[in-house]
Amino acid sequence: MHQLKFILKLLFTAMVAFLLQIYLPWWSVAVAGLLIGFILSSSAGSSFVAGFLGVALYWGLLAFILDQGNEHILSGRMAALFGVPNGTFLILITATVGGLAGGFGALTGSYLRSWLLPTPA
Amino acid sequence: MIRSIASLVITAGLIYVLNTSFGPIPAIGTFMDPVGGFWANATADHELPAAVQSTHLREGVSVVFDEHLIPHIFATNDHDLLFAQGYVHAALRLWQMEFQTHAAAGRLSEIVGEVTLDIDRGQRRKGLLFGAQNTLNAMPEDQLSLVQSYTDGVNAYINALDPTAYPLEYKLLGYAPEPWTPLKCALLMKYMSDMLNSHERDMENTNFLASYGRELFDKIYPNIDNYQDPVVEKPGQWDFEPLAKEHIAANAMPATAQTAFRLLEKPHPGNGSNNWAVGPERSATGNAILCNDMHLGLNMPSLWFYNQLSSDNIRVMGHSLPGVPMVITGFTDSIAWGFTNAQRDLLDWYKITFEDKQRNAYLLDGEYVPTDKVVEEIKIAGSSAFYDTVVYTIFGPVTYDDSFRPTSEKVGYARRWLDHDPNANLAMFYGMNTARNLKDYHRALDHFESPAQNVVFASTQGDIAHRVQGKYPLKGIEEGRFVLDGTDSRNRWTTYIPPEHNAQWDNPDRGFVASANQHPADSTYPYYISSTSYEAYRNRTINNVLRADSSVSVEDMKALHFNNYSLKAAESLPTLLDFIQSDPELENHEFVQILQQWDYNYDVDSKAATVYSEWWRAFYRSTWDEIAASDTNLPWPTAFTTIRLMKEEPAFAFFDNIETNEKETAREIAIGTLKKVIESNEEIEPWGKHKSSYLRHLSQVRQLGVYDVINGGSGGDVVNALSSNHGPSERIIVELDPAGVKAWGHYPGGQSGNPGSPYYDDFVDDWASGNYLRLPYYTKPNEATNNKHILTLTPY
Repeated sequence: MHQLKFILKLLFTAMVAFLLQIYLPWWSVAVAGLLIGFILSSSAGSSFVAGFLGVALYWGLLAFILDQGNEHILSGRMAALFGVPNGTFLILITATVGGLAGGFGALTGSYLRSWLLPTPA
Repeated sequence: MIRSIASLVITAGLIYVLNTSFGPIPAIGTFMDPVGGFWANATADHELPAAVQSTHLREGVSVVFDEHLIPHIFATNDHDLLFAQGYVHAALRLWQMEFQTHAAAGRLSEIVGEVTLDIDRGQRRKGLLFGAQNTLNAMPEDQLSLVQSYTDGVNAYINALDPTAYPLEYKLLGYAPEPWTPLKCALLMKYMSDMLNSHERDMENTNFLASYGRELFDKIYPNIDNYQDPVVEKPGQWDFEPLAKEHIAANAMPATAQTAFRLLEKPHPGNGSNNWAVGPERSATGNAILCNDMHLGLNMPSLWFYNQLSSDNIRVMGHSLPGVPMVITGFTDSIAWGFTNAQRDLLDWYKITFEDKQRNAYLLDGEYVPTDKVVEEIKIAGSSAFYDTVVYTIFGPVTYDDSFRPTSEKVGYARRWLDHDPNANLAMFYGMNTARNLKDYHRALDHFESPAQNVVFASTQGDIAHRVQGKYPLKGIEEGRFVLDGTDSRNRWTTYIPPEHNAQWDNPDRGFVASANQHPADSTYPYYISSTSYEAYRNRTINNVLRADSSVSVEDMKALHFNNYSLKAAESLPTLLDFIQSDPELENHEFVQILQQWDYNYDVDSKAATVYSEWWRAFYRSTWDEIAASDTNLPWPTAFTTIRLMKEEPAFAFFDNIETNEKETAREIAIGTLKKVIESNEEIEPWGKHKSSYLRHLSQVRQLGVYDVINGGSGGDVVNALSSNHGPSERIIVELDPAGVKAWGHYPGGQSGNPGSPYYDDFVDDWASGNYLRLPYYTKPNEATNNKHILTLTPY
């Protein structure tokens, strides 16, 4: 049950992030984390991880698909520019950057929920 | 509550940091975002839209992109055609177009900050923007409306551009494109003129004359070396009455050298080119063949862009300069044309005497007259704007004065450059883009004033021609070789050589025409001509090859483009080897043996080429050590003169090394420098590896460039004039077959300016290895096979 909820949170985060980014800048992924963290209650730690993984998977997967289609032309150049060994590292960095924003957003959402909508003792 | 607020603050802080750029590092969140950051530029193929609508269009356009992403643009009227060309240029090369116009206008600091302020001030003080504005202000209505259509096309692309789709460089440097304007088109043409037509060394010459005297000057810097094989050779047949010069401007000759300040960077001395055409009687197929390769700095994205333009008037295919409408060089359905630089001196310096340090007035014809002042605002990224006051005189803008390269409060140097004047280049381009025969070619060139070029021509009718075309100020002997006296208004440029007096010939008896930046005409040409230096070697190699071949094929022409033979080496190495013969250490040295067996070809695997190149460089530097060591700016002698002196006067004073007590001659310098080359090179690399060419990205970001391109050729003296970062910016061969013009070519780069595109550098290997792309010319859209994409533009 907990596992299912975790996976749902993760997927919802990714979906909301995707939708928000159609209209808003990149940092809207933190808003996606926050919304899901707020709506679907769970522990702060679990919210952070779900938010992190939700955005990280979305960003990482999108970067991976673009990189495959591009046959690593640009990721090779950008990896050299940032001094990392190859484009795969850039995909990991991309996932991490998005993940951090999503995770901290979710953490904030989870805390806000327990502050504003405290569960009856 | 505290946890919530703390977490919110941390999240906001994280976003703030990831959304902010730190110096050259772009905002990480923005840049890494796969939706709008750099990943969005990692395209699987091209990024072109399929349909565009615009209120500017009258009838509609169809653009067929072939397998190399070369657009073949089909419209009925010229306005729709140029709108579509502007759109396509922007879609594939926007960042480059804008960056180059910023560079021309002295606006780089807006993007990159304080580091380019000196360059920007220099551009404004040279008068690039001044010249571009003058050109635009004087542009006739018909040309202006063509430029406007092109501009509308560029802006149609920019206006529809979402920031997520900005070219990569905007994301890296953190700025956004601004609207395109007709002025930017004019600026780009001045940018080209600056590269090609601002060769001069008046200050350096003046300094040398003051330091060393007339006799040495004439010996080291002859105005014309008489060995050359000129572009146009018709001795005694210049059948016109030349204009006479009434007033010869006096040099502002100082008693001692004066200009010790750092001069602005000069254009690359190798900015030149090759072009030639063979007539039907020398062609294996009986069709005239035209070839061209333009030697310029090698950057990414490439300077050139292939496109075909077709309307009811224009039927042309070839190279355009993204940012400028129409085709600059190429072929129509009946003719082909190409350029080499004419190398003429079209820039003079006038020494100005100001009344006082305010520079409000300057001495002219015995009285102080007011100056004009223009305050240039130079915006600087991350800092407040810099205001530079540029003083204008009747001669032109004062480039150097006390506020820019301080010399003396009352002294300034005004720059007179042909490109300060308006010019009608667009009329020339339009004329060429619509030309069908020899008469059209000459009519188009009558409009062409700058940058002065040797324009080669061939047609399906079997005509060939060459014309050294430009607007040349009429000059007396030596006028403008030195800094001129800016206190006498008569010293201005007042009269110009009539275009019909320019060196030119149609269908010469020898059956071919050719140019490689050499002297324009034989010694009987009745006008005084001067240049920083005319080319000494490539021109003779090309003419020798063409004279010897009475049945020229397209394959022969490819071989001539890639001809690596060095006449300079052939004319200097035997003497250098003679010099070292007596030296016991060198006599049987491996390097010497390699050199003795050399065929003077700068081939990719030649080790002799590497040794000779290193040796020659050391010999040249050691010979002219006086020039390098001088406190003032002095001119560098040509290789040709150095070799002549080495052979004819090995004991000439300049061969002496100023750092030793002994008196060296060319012999000792040759021995000493070869020993140094041996000491510093344990192993000899093959030439291609030693030279290792590269294409630098315009932003100077190394990872966006192309490096370690291995090939033969050498800068300056070899037809395949490829040095490490300078050389053939394109090569084209056109066979003027009446049944359909055929063309082959390549350039170092690719059609897309996006460093993430597979079309960014896909021509580079062909360019380096000598493989030519067939450049297709379609008579109608549905003739195209191997289409990659079709873009339809329709009126809205």
